[in-house]
This record gives sequence, structure tokens and C-alpha cells, in this order.
Amino acid sequence: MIDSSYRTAEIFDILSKGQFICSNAIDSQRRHLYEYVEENFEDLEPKFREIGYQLEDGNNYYYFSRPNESNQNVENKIEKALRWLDILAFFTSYRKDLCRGARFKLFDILNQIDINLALKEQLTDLQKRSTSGKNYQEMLNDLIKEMQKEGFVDLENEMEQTWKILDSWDYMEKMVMAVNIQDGENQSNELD
Amino acid sequence: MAKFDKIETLFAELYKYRNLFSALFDKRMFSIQEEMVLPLVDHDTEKLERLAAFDLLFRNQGQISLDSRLQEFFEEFLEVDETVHVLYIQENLNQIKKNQSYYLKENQANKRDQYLVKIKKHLRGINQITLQNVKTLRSNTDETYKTETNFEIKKEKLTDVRNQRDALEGVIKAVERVLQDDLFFKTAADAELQLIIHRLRRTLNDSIHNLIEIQQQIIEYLNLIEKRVQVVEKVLRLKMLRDKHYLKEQTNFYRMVETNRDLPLKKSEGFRTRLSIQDLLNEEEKQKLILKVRNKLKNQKLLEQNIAGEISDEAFSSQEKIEDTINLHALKRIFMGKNQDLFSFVMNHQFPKEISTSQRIRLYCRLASLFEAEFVFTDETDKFGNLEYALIYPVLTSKQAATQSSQNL
Repeated sequence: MIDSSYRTAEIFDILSKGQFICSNAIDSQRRHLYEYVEENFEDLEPKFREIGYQLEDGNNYYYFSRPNESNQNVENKIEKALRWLDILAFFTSYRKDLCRGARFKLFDILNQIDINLALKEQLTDLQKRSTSGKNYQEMLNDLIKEMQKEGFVDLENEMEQTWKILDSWDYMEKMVMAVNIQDGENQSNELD
Repeated sequence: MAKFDKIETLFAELYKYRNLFSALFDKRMFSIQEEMVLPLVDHDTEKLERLAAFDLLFRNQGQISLDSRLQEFFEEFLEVDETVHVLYIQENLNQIKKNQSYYLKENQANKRDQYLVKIKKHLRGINQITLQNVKTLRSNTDETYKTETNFEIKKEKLTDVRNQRDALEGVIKAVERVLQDDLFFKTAADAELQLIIHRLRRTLNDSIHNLIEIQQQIIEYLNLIEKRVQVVEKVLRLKMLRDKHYLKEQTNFYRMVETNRDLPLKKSEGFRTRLSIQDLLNEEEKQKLILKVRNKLKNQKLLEQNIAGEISDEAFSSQEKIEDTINLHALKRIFMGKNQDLFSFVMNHQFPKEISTSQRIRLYCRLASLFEAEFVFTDETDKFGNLEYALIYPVLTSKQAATQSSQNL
């Protein structure tokens, strides 16, 4: 009993910070936590719902939503979502088959940046805020660290700087896939 | 071209250089420089030449590789073949049909037996090749999906694997049909032939099952790729719209994000909790903590007192200024030599720098008070604007008085 309430608190701690609990996390503690949530979803979900948090079951990852919250900072959210789109576009431009479970190396991306001007521009755009006096390696490193902080990637091998894309990556992709684009036809109809 | 006339000599040759052949086989994927294998032939290039002359090796511009027949032979026997040979089965099937036809037309018993031996050999061949092919196909499927990093090539390779699979299935079905429908095999009297047919049928049956599974696997992989293609296209499309500032107009991106209530999208919220007063009173550990914090606070104040304020940035910039001052003594000396009242002198004197009227008036007052003893203050006054001022003259020295009185005279 002590163990389970301790776990619940730990889960709440992570998820309430806007983080994910992924099945393919590098940290084995986190993986165990995922298994725990998976096994006890039925018990946990109503507990969190009672205090206003909805435990959401993504595809091999969990996160919180706040269904009843009204005054949210819309501007911040849009800014963040736009940034995710930019980041996704950057990684997609680097390699088209990057998705959950994939690994990438910092230096491989750097090599690509060297020969791919579009990639270089995207990186500079992404790190515009703090680009002063930084080289591409530092910029890229900062970007990946940012992704790590948000829980989308994690460092697998420090010596080789190999990063692993976690299951939560799917969250960003799902968001993008949910967007409807009006195609030219619809648009002309609307104009009529 | 040199030729081996006996199997023994061929094998003797292969055995003699077994280390070389094995090394070349291990590295069959790469091009190998001749120098790398020289130690294996006692640094004797003539030996390499000899092997090449017998067509066991292939040499080209300092590079060396196994003869393709040898390589295939090794691959087949070690079951490490990486290509799927659909045509081999077809070829065997054709041979069987041909020999079967000869067999049926031949009347001499011993010749018929020869044809039968050939048929059996080809049937066994089909058995082996089929198994090998299915295995290869399976590993190719997985390997392509998992190791190929180039997205376009991956898709193409998988489609290729699918075509190979379809072809293989076609050939296997053809063999099955022959075994099933052909009267020759149905009514085979030879016990060995029956056994071979039985085994082959089982192999073919297994293979078909395996192929079905492989097909599902390939379809799944292709679907995954298709999904990725969709994601990639969507991401790049949206990015393009964003860069052109169409995102708000042409998509529901903003509206979607606005209604999103997920925590990962928000800035994380912190929680403030209060300490339990009951705990603070009762728990020894917490009381120690209070004392610790108290001490810390005391130290902080002391430290604060000791610290000098920050040196302002201004202190570091130089504050040199040039101030113009007027040498009052020099001015007085000039005035003493003039036969003019002080006010008019000050107002009209040419200073190196232009001086405002109010400054001139101030100067007049300063001179008057500073050198009071040396000036003569008359009772007469004059007006300058709305100011009234006393007429002040220099005290005449005896010499000056003399000249002045003489002038008056």
C-alpha cells in the first residue's frame, strides 16, 4: 500500500510537469513506471480525475490533460506548438524515417548540416533566440537538450552522443496529423 | 585457360589455399587489395597468378576476389546466400519435365533408370533451393526494413522483396501442381522416388505457409512506411505553410491548439505547499532545520552588511571634462590699464570664448567684490536694460594720476 501511493505520487510528479511516461525510456525506473501505469490504469485514472487531471493513454506513453481548465495562456501554447512543428520539420528534413524508437547521432546531423543549406537555415531559425556567438554544434546540442527536457528524446550513449527518440515523439506527430489543411478546391469554394 | 582434369587436383588446390579462400569469402562484400592477402600465400604473387589462371580467383587492377562460381558454391553450402533464386527452381522443374518425357518414351530399362536418377536429383534440388530461398527471403525482409536508412531505397527494396516473394510462390505452386496432377508422380512405383516426393510436398507446404507470413510482414512494413510518408509529407507541408504565413488562414492549427488541454503543451505549473505546523512543533528533525535556517538568515544579514555596494558602471568610464575658467587677476590687470568703467569693460571685453550677458554681469559682481580695494566706487550709476549699476573705475596709480592730471590741464 505504501509502495502504491508512493508510485502514484511519483507518477503525478512527472505528469503534472507536462512530461511523458514512455515505454521505451532509457531510464529503467521510468520503464517500470510505465509498466506500473499500464497495469494499474483502471485504478489510477479515477484518482487523478478526482483532482482535475485526466490521465491520457497515448500510443505507448501516458500524459495528463486538464479538461476543466478555462483560463489558459493560449499564446504560449500556440508558440510551443509552432516550435514543435519547426522542430519536427527540422528532424524530418534531416532524415525522413526518424520516428519513435529511432536513434540519431549528433555528429551525423552536423555532417548533414554541413552539406544541406536548408537544414542549416532551419537550425539557425530554431535557435534564433540564443544564437549569438554559438557554432552549429552548440546550437544543435541546445536544441536536442531542449527536446530532452520536454521528454521527446533521451541520451542513450554519452560517448558516441547517440540519442533515442522516445514514444512521446508520436504525440507531436499525432498533433500534426490532426491538423486539417484546406486544399485549393475548398478555398475557392469559400471565396465564391 | 588452365583446367583441372581431376576432382582430386581441384580439391587439393582448394585445400592448400583454404585460408586464402576462407578469408576471401569472409570479405566477399568488400573489394580486397592484393597486398592484404599476400601473407596467406607466403608473399608469392606467382601463386595468386596460378590460382587466377585456373579461374579460382579473379584479379583486377590490384584487387582480388573469389571466382563467382566458387562464391555461389560456398554460399549455397553454408546457407548464407543473400539472393533469392526463383529461376533455379524453374530450371529444375524444366529438367524434370524433359527427363520425364524421355523416361516415358525410352524402352531400355537401364537408360530409363538413368533418367529416373536425374529426375530424383532435380527433385532434391528443388527441395533444397526452396527451403533456402524462403529462409533468405525472410531475413532479407527484416534486414531491409531494419537496416536500410535511406527512406526511398527502403521502400523500393521492400517492394522488390515482395515481387520476389510473389515469383517464388508462383514457382512453388507450379511444382506442387506437377506433383499433384502428373500421373507419373501420382503412380510412382519407385520407393525412393515416393519418399522424395513426400518430402518435397511437405517442404512445399511449409514454404507456402512461411511465404504467407512473409507476405503479411512485408505488407505491414510497407504500411508503416506509407504511414511515415504521410507524416513526413504533412510535416513538410505544414512547415511550408507556416513559413509562408498561411498556417493561420488555411489550417485549423491555431484553433486546434487553443482547445488543447494537454499538459505537455503548457508551461509546467508549480505547486506551493505549506509546512504542517504540527510537524514543525513535534518533529525534532524539523526543529533542527528551523535552527539551521535561522542561523543562515543571521549570517546572510552579516554578510550583507559587509558587502560594499556594487561599483557602478559610471565609475569605469572616464569623467574628464573641460571647464573654462576666467583668470580674474589677468582680467583685473587689463581693466587697470583702461580708462573705462568696470561694467562697460566687462560687457565689451573680447573673451576667447563667447560669454552670455548674464555671465558677464556675474563677472562684473565678482570682480567688484574681489578687488574692492583697488577700485574706486563712484556714487554715479548707469542703466543697462532694467538693471542699475554703479560706475566703478580703477584706482589711479601715482603715475597714471600724473598723466591724467596733465591731460586735464
